[in-house]
Amino acid sequence: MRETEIPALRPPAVAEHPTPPHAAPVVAPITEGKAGPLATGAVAPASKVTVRDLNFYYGSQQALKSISLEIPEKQVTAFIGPSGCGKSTLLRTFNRIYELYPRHIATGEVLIDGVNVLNKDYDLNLLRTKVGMVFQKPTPFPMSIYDNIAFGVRLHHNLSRRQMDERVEKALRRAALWDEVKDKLYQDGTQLSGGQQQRLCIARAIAVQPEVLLLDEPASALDPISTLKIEELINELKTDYTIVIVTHNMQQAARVSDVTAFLYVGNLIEIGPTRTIFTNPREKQTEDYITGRYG
Amino acid sequence: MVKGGQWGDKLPQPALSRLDHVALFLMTLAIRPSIFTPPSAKKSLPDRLFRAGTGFMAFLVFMSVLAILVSLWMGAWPALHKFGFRFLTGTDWNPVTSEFGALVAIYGTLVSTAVAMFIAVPLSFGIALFITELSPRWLKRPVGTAIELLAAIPSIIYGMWGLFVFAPLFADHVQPWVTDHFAGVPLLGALFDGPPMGIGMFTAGLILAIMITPFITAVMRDVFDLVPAVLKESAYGLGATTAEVVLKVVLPYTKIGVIGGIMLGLGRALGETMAVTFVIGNAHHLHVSLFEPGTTISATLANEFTEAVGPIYTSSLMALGLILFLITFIVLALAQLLILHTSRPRLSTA
Repeated sequence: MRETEIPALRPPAVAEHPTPPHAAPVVAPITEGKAGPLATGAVAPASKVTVRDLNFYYGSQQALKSISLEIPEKQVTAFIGPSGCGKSTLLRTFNRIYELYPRHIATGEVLIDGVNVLNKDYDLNLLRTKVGMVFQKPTPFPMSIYDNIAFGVRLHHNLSRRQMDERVEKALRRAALWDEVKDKLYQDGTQLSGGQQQRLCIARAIAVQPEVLLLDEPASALDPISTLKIEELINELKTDYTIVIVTHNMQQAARVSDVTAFLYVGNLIEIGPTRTIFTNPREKQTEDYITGRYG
Repeated sequence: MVKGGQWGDKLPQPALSRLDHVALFLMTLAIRPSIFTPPSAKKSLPDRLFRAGTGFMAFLVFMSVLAILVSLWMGAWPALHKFGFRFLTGTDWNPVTSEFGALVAIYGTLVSTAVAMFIAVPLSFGIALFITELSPRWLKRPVGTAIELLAAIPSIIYGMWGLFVFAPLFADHVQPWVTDHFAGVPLLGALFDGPPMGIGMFTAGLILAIMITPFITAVMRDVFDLVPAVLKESAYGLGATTAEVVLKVVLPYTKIGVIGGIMLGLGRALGETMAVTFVIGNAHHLHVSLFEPGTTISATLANEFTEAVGPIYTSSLMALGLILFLITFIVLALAQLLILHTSRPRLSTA
């Protein structure tokens, strides 16, 4: 893996093997008891991502405190909580994007399909094709719409022109953007409107055919109409992808997600079916937050 | 949570403000002569005085440029009148017969600058990239400061170092090897032919490269730093390597600033005098080989102005100065055009 050659981007070794029982095998054993990927026929959906005892540090400041949770497959999971509660930080451990920065350290485990992706032997390249990410502000690359989509694909596959055309069209259709841009595929992607740019970024992420899609407040910089489109899109995409969305908009979490996790100052307070969280939360803190008493 | 901070409105532009060359002012004036006419709204007396005062100072800049241009033209006129177009194409530079042609000096100026750019641009790119993207945090400051210190060294020091230290080493250890190994290779063989003297066009270009690298690096570093972190994260998030992120995302995003930085270096290289005068050999002969001595416009001026006798000799030197002025002006104007016509990446802030 080429990324691992950059010493500056690697966290210190202390991050790597925090829990010896799970650290050694690259393919970790499936968790017992809970609804793991092999728990076929179980009523609860299989979990795609399992977080176990995850701690995260920005230097000496701890941002996540022993988080453990499960993300169900092909459903939408929302992380809610006030600013600074660690919801984005949690999301950013799933594709290890935090490793770009020195002194950002995660300990614990993030298992995707039962494999700990925080293990330093895990191929970052593979991880990031498996786990796509879309950010708060649209981030089109300074190139044409077509090339924006093809960018990620070209990094990993050598497709013929025709195959690439198909892949681009498919991704744009899936992101509900095709009809708006099919006549201007070779125009600069940065010229699109904000909402279109964000759908372009989603198309770009799904063009590499990930399994998990991380959305970090994907609509918070958009107008209501564009937000609606993004939310409809999330609803459609969950048939194919496991989606994790960070949002500080509680109505949005209620509208789009199946499962909601509430975080507060680095702690996971509560996770459960969205309906339960919003109508009958177990914890007082959750109730206070969703009824607007703080946050 | 995203570590990008505010962006979208901060686009790579600092290079523009650094090109604080008179040419920019002239171009602005050509496009908007109205900057000297105050708005019609009635202002208080102190306001009007202040405007008139600062306007006059700005006007002085314009006047000095014009005055320099006019006096150069008047000084150059006898030579231009006598030789006509031949002054540009002639390769003779003979004070004895009073026959002057500027081609050798023009050629030397352009070639030594080209050599300098050929070395300095990739070098600066690498340094800037290392500082902004790859270097561990504790190394950023020392490397950056060292580069800035290079810019603080007076050019005559570079000239002395080039002549007394670099040239002998180069002649003894590098030139013979290069000449041997490229002999027979088409084009390159001819470029690196000749006696190993240490001084010459190539050495001048090399010294120039060292001198302009800090400027290009500084601009590149600044514009690379302006690339939003989320944009880079997006590319890394797709599984791109650092090289891929730099070449396909950072560079296209910052191309205007990068071009600006390169042009800044180019402008300096074209006009640099002392360092070049020391190491270029100051010979009015046209050679293909970069190892042969040559001369540049500014080196010729520095060497010969004090000993120029007769109106035509002096006038020819003035004409050389006029040509250098025009070359620099054209280069900077082209840079501005290039920047104006390069579409700026726009990121929605909506």
